[in-house]
Amino acid sequence: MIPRHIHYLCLLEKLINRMSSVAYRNFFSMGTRIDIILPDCDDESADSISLLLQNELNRIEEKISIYIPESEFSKINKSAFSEPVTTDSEILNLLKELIVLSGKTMGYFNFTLGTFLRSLKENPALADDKEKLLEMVSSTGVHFIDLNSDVSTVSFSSEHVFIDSGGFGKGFALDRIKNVMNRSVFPSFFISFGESSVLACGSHPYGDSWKTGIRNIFKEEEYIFSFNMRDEFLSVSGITPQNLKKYGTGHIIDPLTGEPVTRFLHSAVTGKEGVTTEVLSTALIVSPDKTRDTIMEGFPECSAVVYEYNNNNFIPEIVYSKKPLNDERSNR
Amino acid sequence: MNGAIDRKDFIKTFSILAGASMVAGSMPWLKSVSAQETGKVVRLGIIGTGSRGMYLHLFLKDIPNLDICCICDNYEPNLQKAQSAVGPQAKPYADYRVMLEKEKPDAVVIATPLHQHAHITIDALKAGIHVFCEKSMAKTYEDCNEMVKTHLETGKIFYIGHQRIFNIKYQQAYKMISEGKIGPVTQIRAFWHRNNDWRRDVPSPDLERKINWRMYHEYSCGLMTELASHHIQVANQIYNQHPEYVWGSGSINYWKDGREVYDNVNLVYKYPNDSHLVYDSLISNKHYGLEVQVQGPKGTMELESGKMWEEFPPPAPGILQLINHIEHKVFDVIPIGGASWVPETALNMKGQYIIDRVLEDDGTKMQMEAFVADVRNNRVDSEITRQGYYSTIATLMGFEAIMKNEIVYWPKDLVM
Repeated sequence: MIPRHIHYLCLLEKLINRMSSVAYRNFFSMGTRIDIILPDCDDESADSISLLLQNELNRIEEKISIYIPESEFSKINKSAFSEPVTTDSEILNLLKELIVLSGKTMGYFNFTLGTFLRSLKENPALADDKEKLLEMVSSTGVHFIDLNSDVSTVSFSSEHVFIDSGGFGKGFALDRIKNVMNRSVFPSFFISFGESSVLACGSHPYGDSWKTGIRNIFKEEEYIFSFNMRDEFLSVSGITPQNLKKYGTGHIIDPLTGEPVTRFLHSAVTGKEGVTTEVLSTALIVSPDKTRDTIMEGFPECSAVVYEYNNNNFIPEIVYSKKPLNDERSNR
Repeated sequence: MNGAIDRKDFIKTFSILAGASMVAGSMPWLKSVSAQETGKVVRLGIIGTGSRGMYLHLFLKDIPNLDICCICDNYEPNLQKAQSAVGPQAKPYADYRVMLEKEKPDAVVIATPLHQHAHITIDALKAGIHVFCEKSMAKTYEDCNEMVKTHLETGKIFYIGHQRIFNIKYQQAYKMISEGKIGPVTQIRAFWHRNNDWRRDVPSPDLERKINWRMYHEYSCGLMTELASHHIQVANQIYNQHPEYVWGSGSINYWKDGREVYDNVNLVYKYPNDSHLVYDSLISNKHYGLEVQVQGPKGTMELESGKMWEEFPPPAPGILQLINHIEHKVFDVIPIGGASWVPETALNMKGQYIIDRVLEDDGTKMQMEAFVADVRNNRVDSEITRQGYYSTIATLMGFEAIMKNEIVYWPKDLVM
């Protein structure tokens, strides 16, 4: 027979454990695994919010995926050079935002390179012909996109313009996820989109923020940087020797020259908007060292780190860092 | 998805399945598929030359050393059509008994209305003729018992047309299930939905019952015997047992056109392993089509579309670390970083193909070839008879449960 006071203690512990329970849900969407951490959340609520997020991501994918023939972007890519294509306000506003971001990153974010990237993939030898590369990228860019808000249409004035959502899709999705979560009752949550984009709101149940760290890919026990995130997005990009092996040299392109970036540069950007942080994380890798300060002046709410590897190690000198970072540069 | 499977590939894959130790015992008929063809000519008759009989003929006509020597139908227009399709060498008959007596074929294919299956099968088996009979086996328990009893007594081959038994996608799925890919199967959900009146054109009103026999209880058990028996056979094979009991309900809620059989049926079959088959069929909506969903703690398989999903996407190490931290009340850094969005990985959420090849045969072609090969080699496989027998018994139980509105238990007086 269990003594009554011990019985009550057990019940109390169960109650405390229940209250501090963490709900975890994950699913695939947009070709990526989504992981959702909801502290102090019961199972039914977690199922419910997870379903809302899945539905929202499916809706977005059906609009921006270039691999779905009926998507808005596929429709635009197919016909916008021949005639103005009518689209909805969500896509029109997204395109407006992307055009602004392309300007603010001095053209180092170019989401119109789809045709160029495909050519490079089909014919890797092109990478050696610098003149041809320059010629090809010159026929892309946001200045070839015409948006008419009055009639909600998109036109291209270059046949080589092809919108590729790969450089901003996850950020856009996380922005929409944040909208859904803001309408929910959860003050704190941590959502990872394929581990390269994160939305962290509120705080860890035993801390005042969410701590995320960027690991040295050659030395997994070592963190290069860590961030204390609160109501922020984080986006990381990078080129590793493994990337080059897997995707060839065309994984990340300098949109001003058309040449593949071959330095093993990595970036981590935090900010208040998903699209912005994702765009910046790529732009900071392809932009020359001397231009990063100028680019970041346009994004006062963002922090950024750019670092580099050689063939088999992390190079300790940080390539670029913008304060204030909520970083601790721990374990270095 | 890769290219189509040709016959050589098909037989090779079936042979591998047949050789797999976990599979071979429960699916002995796989050996028939890869059986060597000999030069012996098989003489075969087709009884029932309506749409299904002629569909089966499309597969029979290409089998080497098969002589379709006679055809039979008591509906003259169908017999005439069959004659021109099969060719002048096939002697036409209106009465199957005369055909069996005069032609003495090695085997017959029976594709008549359900209520005629039993006496034709029994007469053929007793005449020493091997039988392939379309599903379901028969309209009553007693008829099924009598047919199987005759099969056992005569030692003649007796196939029931459940083509999924010979569908390579299904067989691969059974193998994967037996290997534990989705864990123990805890539930099967199956459905077959169409949106049409299920009627055939009738040239004159006096032929209504003859042509639309599926609408009337005298000849048919409706959606149960015409559609459900396929998926019930699949469930029996997956659970590797027959159901203990079934309860269900049905009605005519849309096609109120004088038919007797229900236009929607809903059933729950309970199996001895404490798992269930949840089945429904209707003919007033086709949005969901047909599917067999096999569920286990580690994954899901959809057998008609041929796909499977892992129950949980592979865990992200950083995320697991975070959960672990929270559970242990630790506030610390977790690692972030991974690949960019590469759409090629979309396959993960859309499921994996059970067989990543184009399948051009739903099993019917292979089934007809296996039957003819068994006839040629005089290879009697009672396991395939059992599959048809048990699926029909379970089908009839479902029909009875719906009609009587009560739980119906597996009969105790079966002959096999």
